[in-house]
Amino acid sequence: MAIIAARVDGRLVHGQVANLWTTKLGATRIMVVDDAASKSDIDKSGLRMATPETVRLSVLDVKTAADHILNHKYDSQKVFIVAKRPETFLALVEAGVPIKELNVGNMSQTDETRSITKSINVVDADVETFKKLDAAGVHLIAQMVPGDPAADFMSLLKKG
Amino acid sequence: MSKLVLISHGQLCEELKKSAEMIMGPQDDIATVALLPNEGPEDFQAKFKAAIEGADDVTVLADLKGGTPNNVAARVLAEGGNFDLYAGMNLPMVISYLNGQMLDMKPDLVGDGKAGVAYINDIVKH
Repeated sequence: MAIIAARVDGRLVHGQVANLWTTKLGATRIMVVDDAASKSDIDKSGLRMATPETVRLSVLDVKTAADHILNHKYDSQKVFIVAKRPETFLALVEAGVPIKELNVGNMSQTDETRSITKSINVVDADVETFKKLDAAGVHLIAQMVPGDPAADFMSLLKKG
Repeated sequence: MSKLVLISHGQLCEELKKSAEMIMGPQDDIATVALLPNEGPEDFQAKFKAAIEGADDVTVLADLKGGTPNNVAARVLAEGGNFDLYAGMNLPMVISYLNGQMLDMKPDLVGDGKAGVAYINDIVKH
């Protein structure tokens, strides 16, 4: 079983992730892959607070996350991977982590970004990263909530 | 058809619905009934009865036990109304209800509502 879902979300564990997607997916573990958060006790404490009590949480850097998954540490669990940026997922895929589908959730707006949807804002470098993920065989979708249909993200990216 | 009805003093119910939609997506089956400052219990009761009409599985969340919206709904219930009425509504209860709908399970609204109330200083380690 191991990886049941993967999501790009700049807010990591928050209302939608903790209360909605985790419930819908029946995830038993949220794995936050974030090099900075994995080294910060304050970040980790905040993420733990936001995670439902019935769900386990890992906050790992890319290398440790890939090692744990590839060493079958979570094979009996249902792991929901969340990271802020697409390049984190590209690094996981390049390390050999099998990610079949990636849901692009929240990527917030800055002065440099352009808007793909209301909640997804990208710079040129992100587009290149998404192209590489797509070329690596990762199906990219955009689905805000389970009730919405999953939109094909590469098509949205072309229109944007 | 299942329906959630949020009732409150003022527009808390309408805004709570919007807050829930920010997290859970658009919700067509949430109705709201606000008791406005210029309205009395009779006005509220008419609006409330209209809101619960037509659905066969109605859950009502009231903002405050003992407040007018709750008291009016409790009276309608005592007079034979067919709905579940809870007081002390909060966002965790609304989320719990919606997750229950999504998973086709009966949620523990009181338990989930209470579980969402916490003194965060006890959780955040210094």
